[in-house]
Amino acid sequence: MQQVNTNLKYPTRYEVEQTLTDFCTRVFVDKFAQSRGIFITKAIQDELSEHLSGFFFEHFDIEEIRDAAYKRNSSNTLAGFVVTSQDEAFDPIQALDALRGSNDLEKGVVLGAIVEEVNTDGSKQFKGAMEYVDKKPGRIEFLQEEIRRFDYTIKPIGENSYQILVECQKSNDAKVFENLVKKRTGKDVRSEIIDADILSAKNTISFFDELANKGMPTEWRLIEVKQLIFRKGKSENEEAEEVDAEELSGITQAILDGNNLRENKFVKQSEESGYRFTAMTYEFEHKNHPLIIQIRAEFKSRPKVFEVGIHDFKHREGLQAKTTKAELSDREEIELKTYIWQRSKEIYKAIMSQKLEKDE
Amino acid sequence: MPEDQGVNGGRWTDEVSRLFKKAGWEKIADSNIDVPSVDGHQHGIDALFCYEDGFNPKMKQGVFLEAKRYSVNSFQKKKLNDWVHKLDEKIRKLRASQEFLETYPHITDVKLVNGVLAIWFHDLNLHPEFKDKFIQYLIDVDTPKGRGSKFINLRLFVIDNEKILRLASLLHTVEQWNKDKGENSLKFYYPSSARFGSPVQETSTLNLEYIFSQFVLAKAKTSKGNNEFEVTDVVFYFGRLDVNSFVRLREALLAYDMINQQNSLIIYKYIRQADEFRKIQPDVIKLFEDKYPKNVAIKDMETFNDLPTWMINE
Repeated sequence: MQQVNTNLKYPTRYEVEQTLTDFCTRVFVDKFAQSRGIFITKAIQDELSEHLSGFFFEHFDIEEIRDAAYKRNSSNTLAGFVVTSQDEAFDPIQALDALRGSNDLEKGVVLGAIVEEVNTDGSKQFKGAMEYVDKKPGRIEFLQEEIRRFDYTIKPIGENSYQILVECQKSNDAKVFENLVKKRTGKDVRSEIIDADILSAKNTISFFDELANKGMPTEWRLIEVKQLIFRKGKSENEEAEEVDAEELSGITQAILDGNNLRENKFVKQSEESGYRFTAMTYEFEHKNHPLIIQIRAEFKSRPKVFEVGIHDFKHREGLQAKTTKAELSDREEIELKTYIWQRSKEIYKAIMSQKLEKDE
Repeated sequence: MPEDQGVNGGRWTDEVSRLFKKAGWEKIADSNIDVPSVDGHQHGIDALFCYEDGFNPKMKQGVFLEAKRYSVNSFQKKKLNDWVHKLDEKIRKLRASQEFLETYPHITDVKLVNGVLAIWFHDLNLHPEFKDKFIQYLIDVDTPKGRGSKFINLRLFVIDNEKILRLASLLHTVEQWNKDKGENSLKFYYPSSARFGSPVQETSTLNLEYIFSQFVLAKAKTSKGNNEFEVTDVVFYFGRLDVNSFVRLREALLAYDMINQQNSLIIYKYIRQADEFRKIQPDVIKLFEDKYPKNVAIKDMETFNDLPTWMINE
């Protein structure tokens, strides 16, 4: 028998209407209606949602609405952490594998089989998948329990030290997995993340500056900084602000000229006013093929996670350099994101060690 | 000529009109009429219908029908966008026209907010890949937008080959049922809604919500003699055939009082996939049996690859 999901209650009209109004974007609701041949004209989103709630939908339609409400999409970001222990017997792979067969898992948590992979350089990594229930009390029943799934990779990187990368659809996936690994692998297990809070405002600028230069494999060349988000201070309550286009072009130029980004007038003023960089979207072109890629790197604050993702990937065509959407295979995508995440970690470590030297 | 006008266009209006009449809709005016609008101009409409709405007993729904017969090869995205905009504009002008209301006095009690674009691609069989392209065209339509209560919302629906054949299939199955079990023995079931203040209704009319839904609910009464009746809960299901989809359907049926210990439950499915479905059919039946209806049967609807003869023949 096919696997039966028992959490398949049929939503009420009210739940469908509220979900489409309050948790989905207008773009999604328009697309959902129109792809089914339904057009409600001169309607604001509330009205459109009310009309749509009058239809009976099948399972896949309902899941499509729920996915949109949970902001799930097919493009995942990559986040990660390193776990280390003093204990020589420390082995998170074995611990997770043992946990798979036990009754010791929380309700709703499912761990898939762990598969070993050998890289071209002979090093090994282990891949697995996890499913869990993300509870959201206070929401309408239809949205209270979200079943989330993600893939992870564990790579031994030194004595009793493992790098764990999580293919997240939401930043929370990485945090949940980090907590599970810490809880299940021993008391003295330490986990390290790329933590923006430890960096000064000045260092957050250096981090993104370095990432523009060293974050991608050498066959890619930076052409533009597409977006830069910054925030005053470390508090989550401070609203994130986006740098406008004019300043962005100055920032792009400073990086392309190989100048220290902190010397740029706008950046200097921002740093002096206590602004910290929290996210940047870079556009790169391939040196040998007509390909353009946008990469986004972001320090999330709730939960505290650093993640990288592929924002856009295009193929350039013809004399007018028209672009069309291009596809990366799953493997290419994960390899590229892993590369960027590892560079990010190295840049972060280098900044931290300079900071330590300075402090000493 | 890309669009079939004249004889073929007029014939398609008649054919699709027969489909909606079978859904219980009443045709208000002759096909292809010119009606006076608020701007003083005459507007041509292919047909005008009204129906008793199972979800809203207070007022009949009026439907302006635009029937288009087209070739896949010559169809362009822009066309669809234009049609949606023109139909929206036309309905807004006509519903405000005193002359229009005077010409058709009995529509004063009808809610004139619906339009249907019925598009028949006569060469679709040659171009199965067109289906996805057409969905993208639908998505790309720039729906007329508005702000708040300044404008009334109109509901425009695009029904193309797939939905036309699907609707024909449903109505054909209903007709067969009534032929076997007695005229009008099957009625579409419209659950009550506390939120919208509507009572339960059972009618022979299929409303637009049902035409665009993935399942349609019905109740059938057959005489057992001695003035006693047996009720069968009937579901017409157009969704996919995996187990989770049936669990979701079962939950919907429970929520809308469609599973009853005294009644048999019959699910008419539209998608065949006979070989694959046969493997899971016992599990699917058990899913419903677990909720104790009198008995459960899953049957197939008659499906059509082309227009059924009862649409073509007068």
